[in-house]
Amino acid sequence: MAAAADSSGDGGTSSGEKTIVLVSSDNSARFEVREAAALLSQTVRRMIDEAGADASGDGITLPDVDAKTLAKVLEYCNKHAPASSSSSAAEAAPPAEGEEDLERFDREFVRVDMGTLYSLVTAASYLKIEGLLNLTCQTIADMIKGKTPEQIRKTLGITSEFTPEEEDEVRRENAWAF
Amino acid sequence: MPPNLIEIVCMAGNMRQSSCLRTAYESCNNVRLGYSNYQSRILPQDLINELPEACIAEIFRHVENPEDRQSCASVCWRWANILVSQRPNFWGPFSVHQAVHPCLHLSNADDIKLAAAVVDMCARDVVTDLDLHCAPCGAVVDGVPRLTDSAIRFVTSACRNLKSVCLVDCVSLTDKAARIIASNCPALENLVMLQSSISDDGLSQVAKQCRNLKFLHIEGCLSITEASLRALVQYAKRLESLTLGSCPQIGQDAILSLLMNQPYLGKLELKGMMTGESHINFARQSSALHQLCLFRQLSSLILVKCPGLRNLGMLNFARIHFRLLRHLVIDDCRGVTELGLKWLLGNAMNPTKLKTIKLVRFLFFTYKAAIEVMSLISSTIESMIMDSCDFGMMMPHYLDEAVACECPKLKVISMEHCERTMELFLLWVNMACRGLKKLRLVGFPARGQASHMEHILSGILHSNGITKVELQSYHLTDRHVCIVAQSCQGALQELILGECPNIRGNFVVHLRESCRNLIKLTLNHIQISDVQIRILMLVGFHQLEEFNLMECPLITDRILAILHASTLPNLKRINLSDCPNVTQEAVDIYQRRWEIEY
Repeated sequence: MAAAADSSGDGGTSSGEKTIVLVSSDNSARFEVREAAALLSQTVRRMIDEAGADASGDGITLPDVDAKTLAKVLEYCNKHAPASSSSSAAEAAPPAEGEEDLERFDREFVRVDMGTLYSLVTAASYLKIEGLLNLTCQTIADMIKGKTPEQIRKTLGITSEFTPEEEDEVRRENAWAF
Repeated sequence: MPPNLIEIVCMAGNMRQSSCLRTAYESCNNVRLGYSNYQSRILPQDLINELPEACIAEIFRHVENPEDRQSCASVCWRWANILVSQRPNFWGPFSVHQAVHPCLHLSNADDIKLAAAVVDMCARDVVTDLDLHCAPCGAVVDGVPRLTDSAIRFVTSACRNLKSVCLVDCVSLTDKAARIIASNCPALENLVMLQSSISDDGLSQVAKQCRNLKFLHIEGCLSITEASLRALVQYAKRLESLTLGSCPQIGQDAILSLLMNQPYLGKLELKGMMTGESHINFARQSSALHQLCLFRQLSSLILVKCPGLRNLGMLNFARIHFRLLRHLVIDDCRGVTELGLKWLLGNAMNPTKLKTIKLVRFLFFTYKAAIEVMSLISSTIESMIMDSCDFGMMMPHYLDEAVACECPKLKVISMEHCERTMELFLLWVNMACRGLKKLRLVGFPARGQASHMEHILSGILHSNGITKVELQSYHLTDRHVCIVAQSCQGALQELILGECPNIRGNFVVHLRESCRNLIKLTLNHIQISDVQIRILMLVGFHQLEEFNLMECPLITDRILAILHASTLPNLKRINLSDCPNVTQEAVDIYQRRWEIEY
């Protein structure tokens, strides 16, 4: 596994934008992304603020996100990131692509297997990317809508009520009674 | 779509997107996008429940439809708990009902329904009443219990302010449910468990932890023993009313102990208890000898079908007095005799101020005893109900006038199947009562047996302003009804005649002339015909609101036309159920004018 081709922290893009390096949890992958894209994540934004300017040299490690999921998340961020480079205007500026284009992208984006979808939910929740969180949760919610409980269980592969761990918990709770 | 095609499309899409991600796909060799036909695929493992709760909650925030939320609640307990902790900002059907009545009532209750109902409620802290009835046969279906202890845990955790819990026929619950209720419902005041498994352990926990327990009703619990009663005495200091039914392991000793040691119990009801022989343990009760009379606050004592309850003289032995007894029911308790009854009612110097008494299948050994009992209660009694009561062998032939006394407050008398005692008893009533309002006689003595009955009846009706009369017997004839009509006159408001095959309807003229203020008239199973009803309604009844003619074989469709043509301005309800010659079509025609039950 090679490190990224231009992985030195302040490497500029052809358009001269600032980039940020994000490292996955197992240190297996480093991603260099536009600052505007990375700042869609409130968690990353906070990490940068706290760490200061020189942290971006080494890249920001995200301990809870693995490589595969991070790749997918960044795919989303890059698509949805605003065109302008300045971080303060990042929220106000419209995204680089048109509305319809984005909708189509989103629909395709979530056509993945359930495991990936759940990883995306967790990652979006950890990284606090509102758009991605809404998108993934809405997708799963749509799978639940209009179904009976039995159908929901079948679709999502849920088995039964009490797992052995919960039984133990109940027994411990009632220990005074025994 | 065949998987290969999708893979190609995805890869193509990736290559288009990778220009944005720049180094992503070059550096991460292990990235592979999956197949995209997740909608139809069923996963073998339970992945979604590995998500952190916050994520599952976030997913549920996108499920807005109340029905969908209810479905989610029924999938598994983890989801139900998460949903319960979210506050929905819409009103589901249960919430609307609950705003008016803070109660959750489910019949045919099972886990799924309960979870859905709880999740649907908006303000769970408002719910104070929980009422679950299970289908008695459907409690366990295919070996799986439909209502489980987890459901009880769920609902009592969600509704923290439950004051009243009522579980009927919930045979699939175990004692754990009682312990759960004990720990989750600290404000509990009323607990009813009928045919639900509870044992001493569970009930003791309830007594210990629900300090506000006021009303307890347990029936059909085979494993409750005296230990529970001891726990109640020790912990349930606020208990006001206790009803025990069909608990075979609780004997007379236990009840006596309870009565001795629970001073504030207001109501005790025993149903189907002590069905076997029971013996008082004299050694144990000897401590009672050290005490002077124990006065207890019991105001209602109800004993139903307790054949093993030996003479209430045990109370005499324990020197317990119920100074505040107001309501007494002794129903089919062979062991209780008139001595026990007299002890309950105090003595002539200081009688109990009893308000209502009901005796079913009670045997008076002597008439004198019966009159003594009457005189003990006569000054305060308001309602007397007697069913199948009889005298022993000593049937007196005359009434000792010195014994009769005033009975000013008696308003309601009901005598059912007391043919042998009726004449003498009513003779006493005739002398003692002036304020009687309601009289019900089911089962009348035959003419030959009681020659003065008509005279007595007319005397009673004449000197009291009786408003409601109910008569039911083979031996009743039109003449009796005429007597009733003429003696009651305008005071009569409600007349009920049922199952009197010897009444032919010839009383109608008298009834019409004398009782102008009738409000309710019931003539069930009487051989009365349309013509006679027409005669009855000739001048109409201005107050009549309800007219019942059930099971009358001679009544036909013409009755409705007759009623329609009569002056009955206030008539609202008519009941023609089981009249063989009345048809649905005729009823339908008149449904708009009155409420007709057919």
